[in-house]
Amino acid sequence: MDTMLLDRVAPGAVEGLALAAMSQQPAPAATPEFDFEAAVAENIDALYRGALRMTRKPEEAEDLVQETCLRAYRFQHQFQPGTNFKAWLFKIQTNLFRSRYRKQYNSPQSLDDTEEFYLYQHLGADVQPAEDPAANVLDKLGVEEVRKAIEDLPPAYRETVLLTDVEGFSYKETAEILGVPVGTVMSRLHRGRQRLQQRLYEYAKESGVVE
Amino acid sequence: MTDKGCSSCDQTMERLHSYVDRELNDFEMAEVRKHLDDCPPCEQHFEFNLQVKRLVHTKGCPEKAPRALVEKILANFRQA
Repeated sequence: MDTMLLDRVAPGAVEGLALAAMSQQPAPAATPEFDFEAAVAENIDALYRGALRMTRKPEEAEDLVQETCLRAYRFQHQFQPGTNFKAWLFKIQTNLFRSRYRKQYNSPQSLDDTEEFYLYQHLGADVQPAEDPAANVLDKLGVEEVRKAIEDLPPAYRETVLLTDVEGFSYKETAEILGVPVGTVMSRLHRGRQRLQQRLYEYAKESGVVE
Repeated sequence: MTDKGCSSCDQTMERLHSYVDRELNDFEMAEVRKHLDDCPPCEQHFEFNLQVKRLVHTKGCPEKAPRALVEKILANFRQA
């Protein structure tokens, strides 16, 4: 198991994460112990990489992150210390992205059901059982191919995959950030990953990683 | 998947995303784990899906925020 990737606490333990702070309920003012600046600084890299994949342009990503942080600063009294600050920041950025890129976000973006385990089925077809086709090919896929495959996903699927797979948010946290039911998160992840596998396979073929 | 019609395989495949994401309860996690231990084809599917998730995690967003952006944001706070 990849500890960095799967270092989230067990599912039962996240129940206590009070995401209520992200709701409309009035929250108590930030206590002096909570260092707002330091907490933002810790999360700027995460906000930026997310913004970059969503906008696909460094300048727009910088602008989005800057505005997100400014809004967080203005509304910091609404954040409840002890709750998930990173999730709170991502909710602000997600809403900002949607309002700025409304047209792109609202354009039709449903994904057709593709073959389940697409990449696996295609890679597994021609190899000897003793080989590990997945490890071989996946190891050869570079940053550029993975980046393109992610950016090719429609925004609603992309943001879901980014929040769970890159940032490690739970389904519940992701649902709260996106303002959708957990079931929607699951189906978008499912379809999003199918498409991702399809694209990774195509890019692997283009770059000669597979024949 | 390869064992067509095996209800245990079907059930495991249905739960595979949730298992990879550690979103099942303890009982379900143990159930899936037990099946994977006994079923090499399903275990391979699991490993593969975990590797794809890991690939997205490690290579999907390697960028860091430019130093100037971090400084600008923190300077904004101090001026506000």
